[in-house]
Amino acid sequence: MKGHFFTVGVLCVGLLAGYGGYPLLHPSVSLPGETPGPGVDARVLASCELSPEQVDRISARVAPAVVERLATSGLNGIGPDPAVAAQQRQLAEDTKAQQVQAFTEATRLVDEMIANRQVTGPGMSDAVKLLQQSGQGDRAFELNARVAAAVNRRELTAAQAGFDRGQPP
Amino acid sequence: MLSSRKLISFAAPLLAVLGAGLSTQALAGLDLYATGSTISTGSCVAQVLPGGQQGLRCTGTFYGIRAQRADANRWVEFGVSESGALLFWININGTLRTCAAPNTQGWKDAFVTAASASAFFEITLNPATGVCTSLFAASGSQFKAASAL
Repeated sequence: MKGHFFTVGVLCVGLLAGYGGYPLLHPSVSLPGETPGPGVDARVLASCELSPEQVDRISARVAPAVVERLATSGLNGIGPDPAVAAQQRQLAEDTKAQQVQAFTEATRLVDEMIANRQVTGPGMSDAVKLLQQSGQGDRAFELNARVAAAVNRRELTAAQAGFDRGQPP
Repeated sequence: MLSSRKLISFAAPLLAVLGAGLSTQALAGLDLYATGSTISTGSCVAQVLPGGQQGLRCTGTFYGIRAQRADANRWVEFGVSESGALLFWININGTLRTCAAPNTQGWKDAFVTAASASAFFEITLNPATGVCTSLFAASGSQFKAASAL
């Protein structure tokens, strides 16, 4: 009889210890109304929203097409934002327009030098700078190719093309 | 007066040295220009480029172009600038041809190799656009003058 009481007693103590000890051993399980602990709460993540400043910061680091894609398709739990998409599309169009304008201006400078039969280093440098400033430095060779084409058409001599090392005196 | 025996003993080593010299020259290694091959002396011929446009294919070696005697003003140049410009120039039989290549690492490497004194180059270009479209450059002993070795 004493043995039964002892067994029941041990079980009760075990139950009480388990009831009280579980929250202490599993601190990440939060109860409703409690302040969440450190770390990422999936529910918070799913409902996060980006401020316009954050969007701008991300846009500066990611290709416009990618940002637009994200904005139009939306992230998990975030609906597409037509305003952001339109903003990004406009930004991309503006950049493209600026690049086209810079390239047109650069080729105009080069064509002018070709027409004047005097291609100069500083003139070419100015034209190349226009391309570099608009993020088109990799297209600089197209300006040299323009001069080369004029030489091949015999519109320019090597000296007029700014190349005076290969001409006989 | 030298006796015939002494003459032989004196001349034999001299002949041996001369013979060795001649044989060394004969075994100097392949000289592409000396074989009469025209690919080293510089040429530009018409070639249809990928895409159907009319282009030019120019070949040669610096040594062959300098050594040929058919065209006194023949010259070739591969120019590389710090700003990234890559320019090819060739003047053959009074016709000047030039092109600009894209500023990529591959083109840069090929230009540097082509500019070597022991290089053979084969470049294609579109004269209408002034763009270089391909460049193969190989540095080889057979392309270099023995006198420059």
